[in-house]
Amino acid sequence: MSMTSDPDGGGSKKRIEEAAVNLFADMGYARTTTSAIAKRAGVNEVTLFRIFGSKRELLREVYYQMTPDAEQVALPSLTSTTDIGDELAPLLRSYLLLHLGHMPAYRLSLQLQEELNDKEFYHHSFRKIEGMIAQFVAYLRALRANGRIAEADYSALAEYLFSLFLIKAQEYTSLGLPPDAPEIEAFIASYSRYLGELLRPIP
Amino acid sequence: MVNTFSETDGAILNGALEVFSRKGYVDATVNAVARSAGVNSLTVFRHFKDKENLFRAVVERHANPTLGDGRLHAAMANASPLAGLAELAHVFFETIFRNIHILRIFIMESGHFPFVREKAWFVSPVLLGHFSAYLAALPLNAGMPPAETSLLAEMFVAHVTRRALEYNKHDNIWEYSPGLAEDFDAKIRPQISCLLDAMSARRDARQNPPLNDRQATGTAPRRATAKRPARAGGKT
Repeated sequence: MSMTSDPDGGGSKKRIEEAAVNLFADMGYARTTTSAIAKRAGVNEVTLFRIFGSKRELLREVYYQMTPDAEQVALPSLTSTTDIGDELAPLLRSYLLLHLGHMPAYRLSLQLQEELNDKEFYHHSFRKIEGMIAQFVAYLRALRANGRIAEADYSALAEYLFSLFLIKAQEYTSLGLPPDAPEIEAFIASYSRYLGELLRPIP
Repeated sequence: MVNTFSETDGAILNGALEVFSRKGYVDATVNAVARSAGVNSLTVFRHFKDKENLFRAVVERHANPTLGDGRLHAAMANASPLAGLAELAHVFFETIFRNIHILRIFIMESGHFPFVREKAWFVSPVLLGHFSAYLAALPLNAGMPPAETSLLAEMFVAHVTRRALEYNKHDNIWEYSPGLAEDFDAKIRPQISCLLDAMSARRDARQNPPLNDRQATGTAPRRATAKRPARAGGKT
């Protein structure tokens, strides 16, 4: 195989995924052709097939790539002396932004629900979000172990928060808000302050 | 009798709601709507001109969720927080699930159609209003700033909404059923306990500001612990 088999694999892959999710969303899955995706991404159709194999696999990959993932979130230090509300703010922001990034794929998955009828496909995103919830709960438990927050049902609290991230991401996407919109900042500020109050340790 | 909204119109709009929700606007066809409504596709065109106009009529008609008022009032009047919250959760869950088609349409199409965006709700303001009112009236919530009560209510309504969407999306369930309500009940119970715990924690924090000499046992307020043995939260 020649050296040119993957001249810009990463860049092309990303461009194809972006083009695919936009076209699937605008035209529907069935009517979107791989040649249209390749054209929009500015790559050769052969490259598309070489990277993804088929339109179905491309869809799967796009959906998986765009699902929020715990690995993309950096947890703050456990021993910092920052106010707990201030410390949670960037964490809540990261989780919300990941959900915002997932919205195009989420909308697409609703459109294709009947057509694909693929349980594995839908459980994939569910498992990844469960992973994020588990990460957040583990972080709160560690804060608790360090005496920084009060005892509470962290799992139930995390369920509430991640429900908010999903539903608010739908709302903000529907309004076409950019990730740094004041509404989003206000949301982060009020919930991190509230969580800080709620979890303040009993002296 | 003058009826601007015929039975045929109603059947077409209900069929169209389901087709737009299942397929999305782009993949929905007037033929599929006609089949679902049991009419000829020419009838659909005659009544609603074209697909976009039909879609607009669907959104206009179904945008506002209708609540089963009887059950809602019973839940709102229930003075036991645990029972009242559980009943409210069920009323909300059923309401959202029976409106799952329009909610899906909001999520899929708001970005493409300004008239959908205008009508769209995600955390339903109607449910949010009822829930905030219920929380505000609980003795447990006395003295809580209204802004905090709204945050709590928003978390709760968002959670019920996410559950409904998950049943639909992950399990491909489209119709509300008692079995579904039962499954939901198991999931919502711990969430309700968490909500009540959060309210107790905030009440205690207000009654006992930080830096007092509160007993180590105590989520219970100080005045109570002096007279009575420690109860909930003080199992040690």
